[in-house]
Amino acid sequence: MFTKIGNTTLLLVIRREIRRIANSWVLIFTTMIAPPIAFLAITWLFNQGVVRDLPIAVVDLDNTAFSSKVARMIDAAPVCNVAYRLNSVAEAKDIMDNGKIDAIVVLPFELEKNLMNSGAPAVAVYINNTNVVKGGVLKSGLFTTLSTISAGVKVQVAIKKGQTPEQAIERARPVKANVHLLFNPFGNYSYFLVLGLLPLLAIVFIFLGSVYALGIELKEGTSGELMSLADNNIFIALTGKMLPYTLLFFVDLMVLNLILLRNLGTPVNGSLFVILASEVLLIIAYQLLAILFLKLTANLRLSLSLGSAYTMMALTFSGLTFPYMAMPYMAKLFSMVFPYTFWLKIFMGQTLRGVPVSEMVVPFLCFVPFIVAGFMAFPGMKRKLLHPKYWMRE
Amino acid sequence: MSIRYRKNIKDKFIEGLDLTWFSLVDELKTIVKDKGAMLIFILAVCAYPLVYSIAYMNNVVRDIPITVVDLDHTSSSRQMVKMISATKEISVSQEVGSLHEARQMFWDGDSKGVIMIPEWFEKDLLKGNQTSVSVYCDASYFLIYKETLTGTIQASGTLSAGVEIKRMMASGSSEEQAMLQRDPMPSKFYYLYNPSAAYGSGVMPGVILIILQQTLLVGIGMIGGAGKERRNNQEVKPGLKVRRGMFSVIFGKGLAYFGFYMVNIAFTLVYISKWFGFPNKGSFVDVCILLVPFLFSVIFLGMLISMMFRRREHSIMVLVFISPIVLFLSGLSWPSTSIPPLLYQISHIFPSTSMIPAFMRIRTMGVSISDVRPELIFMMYQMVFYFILAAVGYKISVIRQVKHHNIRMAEINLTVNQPPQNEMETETM
Repeated sequence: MFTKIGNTTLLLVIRREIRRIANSWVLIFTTMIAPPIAFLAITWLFNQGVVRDLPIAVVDLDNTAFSSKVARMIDAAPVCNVAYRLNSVAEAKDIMDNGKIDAIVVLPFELEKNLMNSGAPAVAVYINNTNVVKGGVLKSGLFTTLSTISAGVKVQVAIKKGQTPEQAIERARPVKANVHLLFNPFGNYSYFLVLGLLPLLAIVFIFLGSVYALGIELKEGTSGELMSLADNNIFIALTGKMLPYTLLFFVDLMVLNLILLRNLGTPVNGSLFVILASEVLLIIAYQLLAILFLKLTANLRLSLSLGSAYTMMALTFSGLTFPYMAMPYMAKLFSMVFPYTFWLKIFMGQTLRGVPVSEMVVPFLCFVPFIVAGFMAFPGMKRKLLHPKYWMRE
Repeated sequence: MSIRYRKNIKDKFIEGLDLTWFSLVDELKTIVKDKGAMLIFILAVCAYPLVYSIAYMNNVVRDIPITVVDLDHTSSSRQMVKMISATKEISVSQEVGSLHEARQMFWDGDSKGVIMIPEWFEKDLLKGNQTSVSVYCDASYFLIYKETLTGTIQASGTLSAGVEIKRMMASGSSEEQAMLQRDPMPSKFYYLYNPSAAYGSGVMPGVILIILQQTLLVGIGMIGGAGKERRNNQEVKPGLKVRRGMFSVIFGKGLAYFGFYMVNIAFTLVYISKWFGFPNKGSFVDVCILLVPFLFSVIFLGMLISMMFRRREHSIMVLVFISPIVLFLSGLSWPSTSIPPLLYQISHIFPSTSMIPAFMRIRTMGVSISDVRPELIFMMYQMVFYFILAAVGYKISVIRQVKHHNIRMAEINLTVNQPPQNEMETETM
């Protein structure tokens, strides 16, 4: 009997909420329009995948057949693109100051002539390391190209001395490093960023959308109507209020899954079911936190301001851009106040890393405190929804 | 005739200044009264840069714990291990006997990667065959993987070089000759401006500029939206009646935010930069020259955007999710040459796209203002353009507001007997 009444009032609240969504462009925007647009914008932004064709300058002080061959080989390297061929270092420095190039390669005077004689001056490479990503890419790319050229010269000499080409090549580098990338088939930076940014944007929408949906009732003083529709049962009121958004955001996360798993090709080395379960939990956790924020502030705008800070910071502290292990202790501790941190652990574990499901129990349990805190806010929220003194406040 | 005309100009000028001053003071009062905007202008601007700077305080990833599996147990393999642990990137945390054990340690989180030296390592080296070390690194965290890789390649390169030189010397070359034969075209790398590849000081100054921009946009949006929310139950401000003074009004309002943000600039770009040791080359005067068109462009853009929001909350909803996208469009970490050109063009709507590269060049590379001229000129055009748009938008909204006001006054006059319910309704609209 009781459950029957509960169900029907729940349905009434849900029906009211669906009408409210249909009549509000902000709610339509944050639940249905903005998430896919944001996901696509980020995907488009990192479309190129790897950093390549960074503009550099070659200062050729040698001007021989060999030096122009070196310049051509540098140009052919995927990371860079020789935008300027110059004759003086000062000129190149000016261009770098203008921000038009990221590196300068100086081929010294008499490079060809001194190639095998003593005292050959080194090829100098100046890299603008202001942007660490660009600097790192240029460093490894130019190093590979220049040492390949050097090794090429060495191999030719060895062949002239009578070694077979295979021998010469093997002897050119006695110890090779075989690199095995674990858990990431691509090894490029953009991939990580997309992987971290899309879910981050999703939680921004989930949190702000939920805060707005509930907070606007306080601000417009319609929360009394909501409570009376739910027979003054706060559990039914908030469940009915939030459930339509849970579903809408779940659809958004399915778009996210499609982009990450299908379009970007992230492998699912674990269980897809666990991923989906964690996503449902993520939505519910952030929705409950939205209720907690509103209970604490009883102010829509304040909750939105605090909430946007709370959600945005999660990316920095998740360890995806700058590793967790290199952060100060305080920052590590701080990262635990975000459900996102634990969710990312589950997501990475079940996609790239293929961690056994048993290892996922702890991160799943880490959601419990957030959910409990959210439920504990229910009685306080009821008071605020019912009392007109909390309504229509600035 | 001409005297009257001149007097007219003078009067108009004074009138304009008056209006500017009035708008400035009026807007400052509005800002201070608005708790939400104050929260963003003061608390957010202070807290964000501090919190982010603390996260990146250690700047670089060093001494990544790696497990070594040495299957060779010879003096060469031990030398290899020594060279690996000598790199600044890697520290050998354990040595175990099998790959299986190493894997367990990896899962337990005790190490971030595994380096395996195969059997016959020394034998192959002595025979003159190529041998290899295998690196398994955790590529699900980018910086860790990159640094592990750099360290291993460096160590194996050093060992390679030593072996080669020994071989050449064994076949009769002098040490000097051997060095030359080994690397006939040596290259030397110099890292300019940020030699230690510090992540925090490379990223934070730009992040601070983004924070300044986004908080300004959100804050102005909130105040603008609030002004509209209140418009139905408030008298039209005397300043608003002056339909022709829109340039003065917009300039005055803009000055209010500009003044407010001078304090924020001092806090973020001077003090926080000093505390965390962010690069401070170039002259601060040059930075200030850049800041003027930057801040005004942002302020006028903010006013323009605020005219589009009906409610103050909406500006947060829309602008927050744009923030990370704007950050990555600024070329701060993802190179601008790798951004799709069309998207990069669009991103110039935000002044940060021009400001961040210019600012970084001055502060990190120490160039002079003449080296950032294109960005400076672009931001100046941007400032003028947004100023005019904001003024026009403002005029339109004032005309609409006055019309609304007149209609309402007429309504009130008509229904003078039942005002209470009406008042209530319009307030909650």
